[in-house]
Amino acid sequence: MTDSAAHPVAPACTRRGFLASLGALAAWPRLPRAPRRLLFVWLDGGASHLDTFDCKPEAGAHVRGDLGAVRAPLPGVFVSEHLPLLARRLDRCALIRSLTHGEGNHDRGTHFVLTGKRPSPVMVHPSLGAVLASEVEADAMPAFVAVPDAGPFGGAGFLPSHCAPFEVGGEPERPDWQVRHLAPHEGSARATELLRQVDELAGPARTEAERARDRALGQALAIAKTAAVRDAFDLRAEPADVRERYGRHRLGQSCLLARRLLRKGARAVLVRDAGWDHHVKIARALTYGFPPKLRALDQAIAALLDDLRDDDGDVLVCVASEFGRTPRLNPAGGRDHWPRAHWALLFGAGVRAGVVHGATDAHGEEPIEDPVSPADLFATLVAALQLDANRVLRSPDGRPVRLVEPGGRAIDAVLL
Amino acid sequence: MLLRRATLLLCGIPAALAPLAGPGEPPAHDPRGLDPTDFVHAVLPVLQRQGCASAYCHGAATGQGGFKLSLFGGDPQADHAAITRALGGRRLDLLAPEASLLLAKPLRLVDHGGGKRLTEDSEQHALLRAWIAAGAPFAPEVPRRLVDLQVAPDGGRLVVTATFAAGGTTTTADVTALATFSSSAQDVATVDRAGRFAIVGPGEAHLFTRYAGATARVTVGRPFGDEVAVEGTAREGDLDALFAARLADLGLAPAPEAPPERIARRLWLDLVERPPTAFELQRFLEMPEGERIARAADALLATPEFAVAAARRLRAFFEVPEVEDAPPGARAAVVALHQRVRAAAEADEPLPDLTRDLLAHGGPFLARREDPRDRAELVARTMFGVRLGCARCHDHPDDRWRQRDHLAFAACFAPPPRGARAPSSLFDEHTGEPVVPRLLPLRGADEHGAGDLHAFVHSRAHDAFARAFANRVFAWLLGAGLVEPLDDHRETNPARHEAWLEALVAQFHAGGRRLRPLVRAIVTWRAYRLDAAPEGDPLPRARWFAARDPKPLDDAVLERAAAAVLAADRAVFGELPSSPLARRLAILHGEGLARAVHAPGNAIDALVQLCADEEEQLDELFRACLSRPPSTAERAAFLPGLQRGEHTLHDLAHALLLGREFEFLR
Repeated sequence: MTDSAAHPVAPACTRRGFLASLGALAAWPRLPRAPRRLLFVWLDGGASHLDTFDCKPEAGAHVRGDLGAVRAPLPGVFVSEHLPLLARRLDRCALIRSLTHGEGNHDRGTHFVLTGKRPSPVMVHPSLGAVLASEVEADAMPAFVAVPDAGPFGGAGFLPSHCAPFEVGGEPERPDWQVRHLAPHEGSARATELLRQVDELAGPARTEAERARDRALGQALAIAKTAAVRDAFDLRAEPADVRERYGRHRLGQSCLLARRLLRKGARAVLVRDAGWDHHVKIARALTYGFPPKLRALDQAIAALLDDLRDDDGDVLVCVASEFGRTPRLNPAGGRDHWPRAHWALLFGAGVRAGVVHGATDAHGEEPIEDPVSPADLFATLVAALQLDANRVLRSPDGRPVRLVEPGGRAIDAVLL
Repeated sequence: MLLRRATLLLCGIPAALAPLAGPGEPPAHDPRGLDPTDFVHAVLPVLQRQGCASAYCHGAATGQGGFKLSLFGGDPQADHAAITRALGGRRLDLLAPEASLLLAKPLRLVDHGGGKRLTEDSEQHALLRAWIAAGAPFAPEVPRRLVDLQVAPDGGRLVVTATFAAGGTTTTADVTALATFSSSAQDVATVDRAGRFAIVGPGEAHLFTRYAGATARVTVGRPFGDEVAVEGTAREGDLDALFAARLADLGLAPAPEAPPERIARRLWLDLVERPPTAFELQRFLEMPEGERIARAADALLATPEFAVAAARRLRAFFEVPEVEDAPPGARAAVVALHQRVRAAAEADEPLPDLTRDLLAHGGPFLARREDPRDRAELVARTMFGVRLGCARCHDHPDDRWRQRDHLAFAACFAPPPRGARAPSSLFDEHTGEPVVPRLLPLRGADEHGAGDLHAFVHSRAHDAFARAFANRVFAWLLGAGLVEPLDDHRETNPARHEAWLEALVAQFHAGGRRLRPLVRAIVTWRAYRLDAAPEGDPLPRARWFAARDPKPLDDAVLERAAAAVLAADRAVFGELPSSPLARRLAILHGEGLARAVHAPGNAIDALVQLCADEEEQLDELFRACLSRPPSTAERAAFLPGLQRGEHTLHDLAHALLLGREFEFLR
């Protein structure tokens, strides 16, 4: 921030500022604008950059791997041949190929990328979804949902419990799956009716813990009473052809549920897709199995892209994982952890479509231009969501934590 | 060292000192107070005090504007080099000090992202200028060591005095202008950058000052204003007298004692993790008032149920992993460890016997953490209640731990070195040298070598284990610790009532370092019996343990308590989700509880069959669930519906078990 503080520039004098002022004019009659929403698709385990969006078809077989690549409609981008639907739609996205950091451990890398803060031995930082949840008054619809769960670093971190994601749990790909406990069990309907009275007669809540419990209970009872909210969680209400289009697998159905929730009032959804840690026979692991990992990714994200184009355009989607994988195949035909180069895919609200940002060297080992740190990526998401990067969060021990840590800079090139 | 002890006794204000390495000490030195040629003691504190070395300025990992200082001044040599040599030495102009960037930037004579930080007539500015004029050395000819730091109020201002040793002589200097200040309670006392303080509210606050890596504190405050009568004086070890004396000092009248039903409920839920049965409650109420708590505690402490509860607490204190969470290879070892803890709880073994086995080198307790630094942090946290984590990356501004302490303690947990000559297999990232293992320099600990770890853990010299353990047991029974967070004991985070914690530590030792005598001492203490503060009470009584806030039951206790009330033999809530809303929904709508409430032949069925009428059913149900009869309002609200069959006793039992009062122990 030093530079901008030292050289204050009138906002309208920059390209972005000018466009923003135009936007403000256009939006004039319908202020205040609806807050933007976030869908974070997390590929847990570390998706290989060389077998997805940063293929190196001209490198040797030990680097290239066993999967083919096709040219995408973005300059110089080769995408896995197993991502045909996404390859065709890539001009609607911004692809950052130069994400880089030094954390080769799953937990540490995950913390860094999801929270935008370096992992700390003394506290867990909040993920972006929790920050969004901290800004809204809770009603029946949960502000922040994790499908099926948020993992150890996708949650509220040090923020209070009402910012934590509602983890739906279970296996969304099963045809009969539903979110549990949204409505009273047959035997408990009358008890929940009596409960309010029991609590009231026992006296008012006195402590913060009691008030937090009452708040969560109020929301739980409101969900039970509000059919619209329960319906938002009901994947079975989606037409069969839509469910097919997203794919009948964990990632596809999770993304579909996420889209459904965002349309019905959730502020942020985190989809966590496990199983991207391919140390052995990576080509096989990505293309066989039920479902093949790449096919699931292709179907789910392409369906999101198509659906979001038709929506309001206030949803920002980010697809990323904690690190890339080693450029050279290991003796087991797999790839190990490689935090020095990986990618993030952005589309939707606030994102400039058809941008490739950064590039890696011929073997995908290091960024050769525009390196992007997880803090930069986080700053970019914060900017795309129109949040205040300088907002100061307070950790429980009173430490001030800036929403975007110093050094994190939003990437103007991928922002509208 | 001698000098430091003497001042400690004199003032009772502990100073956290991490002496800087001093080589051989030649005699005679300039006796002036502040020597501007002393970078560490005169220049670096200025930069710290003005916030230059904070994480948001030049202390950030990447520096700021090309100028990088170590975070909170943790690496003076590097900082000296950054100022004097980086950028080709352009930051200083030794011939014309005024032209130095180091002076021009904070005065904002040239552009400075951090804005104006100093004025030209300030002492700080003068010091920086004098240092540059003297040639910007790192240390004076005879290096000085800071050996003591004292802070004392003088009128409305704090005065900080540092004592340095150089050669054989000691000098003192007023370093108030170079020190930073903070208050532990902004609502009691505020302190500004110059050390001027003001008492703004009742209570007690600790004002801390930091200077060149050392910390000192002074306690200030004013009474809350209650008239508190105290009979007699506190005798050594008399907890009740200590309780009364301290609250009288604070001018905070304790809440009256809770009604006996409520105390019984606390005792049973705390010690055997279920409410008392109607019979137990009846017997408790019939016992003579003066002795019933002690008698009930003795009876409960002897039950196998208490051993189960105690084992669970001990596992939590020492972070023994749950069997389900153990990696497949370590499962058998973790099971064995659980059995070990259970055996210790059943036999009420002295804690050192248990921790010896937990700490056995390479034992399963540590095996799940491969990195010696993780092990060191785990041991510091569980055995001493100390957070070492910050010092992994930087010297902590609020704590005594330096990066080198962390590293040296971690080396105690590294596998034995391959080469016979290396002191350990852990290497310093910066120097590439193997690290010499050293136990933590806890305050009071004399030995700083690498002696026997277990003997060190229980050393009376620092008593850190006993303090952390007593505090944890206190928090288990009272709902909050005297030191909070429980794993954050440090000089800048003192106990709310230091004398109480010391008394509990004495109890712990007097009881043979066993759990049961300590628990008994706390539950028979007056502090345990207090009721909630009256509604609308303007004073924060509960925070000072002069009243009791409701305490949430944790998942395991909630489950066991509900199952006991229903006489259910199966899981009632089962594994509850961790996400708060999902957890609440699972409690509210879970099938397990509904099934257990309506299970034929359960305790509710028995009430329906055995009670004469609905009124008696209602009374007995409230007694079983909440250890009290229904209030008039509750009877009026629920009895007619029960009599008319609008809801059943089972529905009402279900609602009571979901209620706030069941979940929060009053």
